[in-house]
This record gives sequence, structure tokens and C-alpha cells, in this order.
Amino acid sequence: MTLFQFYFFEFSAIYIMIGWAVYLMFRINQPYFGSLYSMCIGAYFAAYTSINWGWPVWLILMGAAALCVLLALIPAFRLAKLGPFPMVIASMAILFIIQTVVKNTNALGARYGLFGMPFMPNHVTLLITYGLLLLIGYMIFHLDYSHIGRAMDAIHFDRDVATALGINASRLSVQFQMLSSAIGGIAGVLYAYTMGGVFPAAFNMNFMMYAITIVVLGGMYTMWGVIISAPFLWSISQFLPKNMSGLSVIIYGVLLIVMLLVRPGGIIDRRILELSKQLIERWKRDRYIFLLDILKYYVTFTGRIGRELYWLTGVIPAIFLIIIGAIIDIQFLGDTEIPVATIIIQIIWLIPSLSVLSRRCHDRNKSALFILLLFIPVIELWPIIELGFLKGTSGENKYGLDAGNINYVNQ
Amino acid sequence: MEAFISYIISGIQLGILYGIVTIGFNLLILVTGVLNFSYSHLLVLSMYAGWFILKATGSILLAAAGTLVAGIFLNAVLTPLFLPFIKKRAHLEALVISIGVALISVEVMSHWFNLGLPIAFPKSIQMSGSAIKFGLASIGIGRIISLISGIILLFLFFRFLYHSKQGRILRAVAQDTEVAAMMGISIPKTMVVSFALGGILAGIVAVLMAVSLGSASPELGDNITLMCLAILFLAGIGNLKGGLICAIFVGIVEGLVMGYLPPDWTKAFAFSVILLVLLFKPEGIFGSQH
Repeated sequence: MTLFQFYFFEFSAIYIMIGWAVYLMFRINQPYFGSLYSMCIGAYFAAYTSINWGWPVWLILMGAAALCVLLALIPAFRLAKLGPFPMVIASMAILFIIQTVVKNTNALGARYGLFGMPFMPNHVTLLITYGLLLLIGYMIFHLDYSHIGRAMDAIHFDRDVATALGINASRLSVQFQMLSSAIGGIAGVLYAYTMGGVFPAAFNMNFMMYAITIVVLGGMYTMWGVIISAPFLWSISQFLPKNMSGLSVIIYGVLLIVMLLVRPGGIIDRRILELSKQLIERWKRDRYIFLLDILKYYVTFTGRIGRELYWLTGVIPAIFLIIIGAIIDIQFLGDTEIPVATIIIQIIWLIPSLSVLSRRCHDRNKSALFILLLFIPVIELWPIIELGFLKGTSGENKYGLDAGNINYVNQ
Repeated sequence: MEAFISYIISGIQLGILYGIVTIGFNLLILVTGVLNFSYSHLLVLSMYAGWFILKATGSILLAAAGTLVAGIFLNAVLTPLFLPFIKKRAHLEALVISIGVALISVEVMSHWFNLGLPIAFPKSIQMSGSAIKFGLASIGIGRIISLISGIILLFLFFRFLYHSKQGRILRAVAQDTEVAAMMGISIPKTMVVSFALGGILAGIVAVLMAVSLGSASPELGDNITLMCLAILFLAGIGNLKGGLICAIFVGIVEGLVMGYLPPDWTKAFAFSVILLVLLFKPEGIFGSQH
């Protein structure tokens, strides 16, 4: 395993944890960023105890979680009553105060931070991280689908009504603040072990912005979006050229704003979750007919599809197939002259992609011959933008009914 | 003693500028429900615009006009970003968007404008050569001018708000949007007016800041936002007059603290005040006027 792959998997897991911790509080409409300063505290705790007192990892993990929960408890009961605005500002205030204190404490290395932690082998770090990630994910998944999950929804939509229904919103908030802080502390310990140390500038306002972007981009109403957005955003910052490294914050900001304007629910919102649930049910009911239906879907050239289906069944699978082809070519077949796997995959994918594209053309009330424009160098932007982002003609056109009226799960 | 008096006067001047910016924040919160985090970053951006114009043309009047226009323009450009969320009453999303705008503008300022270094306006603008001296202390004429024009601006603003038709419309929408709509007031138009008014205030404050501070840096936006939010929550959200009183108080305290503590701790101090007020008196000292 190369160092880059190690960092990729490690940081993805850490940011997924942080994303979940923030997501929990977003669900009850209290954007609390206690997990972020808990991460700072956890990281410093790990660095200090391992360097000065030689504590083992398991003790540090437990100690950090306990310390963060205790520290979170101090303001928790007051914070639980706040609305969204004051909550954001209060969390920012605590984050800033902790950063200032850390920056000016000589025992914690002041501005330079603490480095020189005992080395932990990469595979051990990965094993611990992913074990904890699965544990936390399992816990949050069960929270989401229990009576607490329903209480979270009720508070999210109307806190007063939820209180009237007998839900103790403040108590739930305190519990979630503790949980969120514990996750943050654990993530901080893992962060410190991955970096081999910790420095105060890592936990600034940009870091908060990064956490918000992860949650909003992935989808703040489900726990699954974070799994996609955290690795994606981390990769963006790594693949930028060195002289443009300052651009990453701007890219995050633009992504955040565009996502909120275009799709406030994030990549994976409730509808997609509902859709995938229905698909799983169909698979359980009759898997062969379901497979046949999928096959039929990809060889149909009549009718119309909307933008969502175009992206979900056309563009995203295509991107995945390209990545898989590249991985097979480079990792297993060696770096040959002719990319065999990519070519085979593209031949197989030709008919399905034409099917999806032509039906999307019909939705825009155009002949499928419009696809041919994709083969002309600069003009290809026109069909890419038109097919990907513009709404289909409303009502019936000469290619069929409005795509929005068709229930595509049972189609 | 002379130094003390000069600290107090510059504190009052700073406080009045904070007060005007806080009014800009409050106006948007009252009328549209949006806490526009990026408001003071736009203010600093318009200071940068004024600096560029001053460097290119050398004319102070043109630069001042440019700063004012930039303030109005930037606020007007950002309005469409917030409107869909105002309609849906998704205030949290609007706040997140404005934080995004703020961070983007800080990054842009610290990477591309003047190599990320702080900009300094020429000394002639501050008129520090002809300072008023008493004993060992001295106060630049620029500060006095900014103090007086700040007071005039506040007077005009409150006159507008309480003694004109448009001001009455703004207050009506702030008090109850639905009832105001039933009385035949155009809500979208009022919101655009409030954004424009915020822009005008930002532009004028940008000019006054250039005259009194004489420099700007990418971090200035964050610092002003932080101070104004502290004032906002200290006084109670939506309370214009209480906000003004708190602003002058905070300005004096900051003027005094800056002489004795390193700047890092000044910020931490402001944040501690915010935190304590939020935890123990979430509705503020003067109460909110929602």
C-alpha cells in the first residue's frame, strides 16, 4: 500500500466520522460544531499523553472520548435550548477560544504544535480506524431507524410541535452533544496518530467550513451522503496543483453554495433513500424479473426520462465504469499500450448509454440525433449542459408523456 | 490621563462604526430573517475596491464614490443567492451560504489582491499630519471626521426609518411579514430595499473605515463580523437602539483593551462575551424586538 492510499483511506474515515458527528446535530436543527473542537482536544490529548506519559492507544481513545464528553457537558444544558443561529455562533466562539488557548500554552507547543508521537504501523492505524468507523456507523444507523430517529425528524420539522408530542428536545440535544463530542474526540486521536502530531492551525474556521461542506454536499437528511462526499472532497484538495493549493477553500465554498441552491437536500436525500429502499424490496420480491427490467430499461429507445434518472442511471454509472476500467488496466493488466479493459467496458456500455441519452433528448423535445453533437470538440458542451441541467418540456410532447409523471420504480 | 481620553474618543468612534454595521446586520435579520455573515466581508471588499481606484487614478473623491458603489453593488449581486431561502424560510441554509461567501471572499483577498498583504491607504487620507494634540496624546483629524459623519449618518438613518413612508414599510415588514403583505405592501420589493440600504450603509462605513483606520487586511472582515455579532447578541437580535448603545460600549472597551492586551486575546475576549451572553441571557440585555 502506498503512502497516498494510506492517507486517502485514513482521512476519508476520519472525515466520515466528523461528518456523522455534525450530521447528528443538523438533524435536530442545531448546527453544533462541538465535534470539531472535541477533535482538537482529542488530538492534543493523544499527542500529550503519548509523548509525555507513554499511554497506549486504547487508553488514549477511551480517555479522549471521556474527556470530550465531560467538557461538552459543561455548556450542554444551556446550549440545548438555543436556536440554530445562536448555536452556530456559540460553537464558533468555543472553537476560537480553544484555539487561542492552545496557541498560547507553552506546554502544548504553542504555535508549533506537538510532534514526535510514537509510531504506529500503517495497517494497525487503518484497522483501528475502520473498526471504530463501522462501530459508529452501526450505532448511528440504529439511532436513525429507532424511535429516536423519528423524534429527530419531529424536532427537525417543528420543535414546538415535537415538544407538545412529549419529546424532550433539550434532553435529546444534550445526549447528542455528548455523542457528537465523543465521536469528535476519537476522530481527533486517530488524526493525531495519522499525522504523527498536531498543530493548532489545523482547527480553524476553514476546518469548520470543510465540515459543513462535507455534510451539506453529501446530504444533511441522511447518514449515507457523508460516505461519498468526505473522500471526494479530500481528493479535491490533493489533486490540485501545488501553486493552486489556496483554491481548495474557494472550490469548497462554490460547491457548498451551488449544492444548496440546486439541490438543498444534498447528493443523497430522502427521495433517493426511499427509492433505493423500494428497489431493494423489488429485488427481494422477484429478483429475476427485476434484473430483466433493468436490462429492458437499458435497451429502450422510446419515451422520456428526467434529469435525476439521467444522472443516476447514465452519468454516475459511466464515471464508475471508467474508474473501474482504469483500475483494472493499471493494477492487474499492467500499464499496456492498449487499455483492454476500458475498451471492453466501453463497448458493453455503448448501447445503455445511447438509450439513456436518446431518451433524455426526447425529454428536451429533440430528436436523438442531437447526440451526434457530442462528437464535435467544442460544440459538445451544448448537449452536455442541455441534457444534464435543463428541465424537460412540460406536459406531453411528441415523444411521450411528461417524465415527471412516470413512476419509474415500477416502470 | 490624556492617553486615556484619546483611547476613549477613538473607542467611541470605533463603536459608532460598529453600530452602523450592526444596524446593517439587524436590518437584514428583521426584514428577511437572514443572518448575513458575509456582510462585513463585502464591506472590506469595497474598501479594497476603493484602494484600487485610488491607486489607479489618485483621486480621493473618485475612490470614495467607487467604494460606495462597490458596497451597494456587492450587496445587490448577492441578493439572488438568498432570495430562494428567504421564500422557503430556510434561515439555516441562508446562514451557511453566507458563511461560504465570507470564506471565499477572505481566500480571494488573501491570495490575489495585493499578494495577500494588508493594504494601506495614503497618510493624506487620514490627515494624521494635522492631528489635534493635547498633552502627549493626539487624535487624527480622520478619526474626528469619521466620528462626526458617523453620527450624522445614524441621525439620517433613524430619521428615514421613523419619519418616512419607506421606513414605515420596513418596520411593518419587520414586525409581521404576513400582516404587512395583507396591507398591500410588496414584500419582495421591501427585501430588495433592505439589501440596498444595507449596501449603502456598508459603502459609507467602508469609506469611514478607510479614513479612520487607514488600512485593511483579509482578516478585517472576520474581525468586524465577530465584534458585530458580539454586539448583536449582547443587545438582543433585532434591537436597533440597544445595538447602538452596546456598540459604543464595546467600542470603548476594545479601545481600552487594545492598549494592554495582545490582539489574539482581544478576539478571544470578544468570543467569551458572546458565549457567556448566549449561554446565560440568550435574548440579550435589551431583549429582542421581533
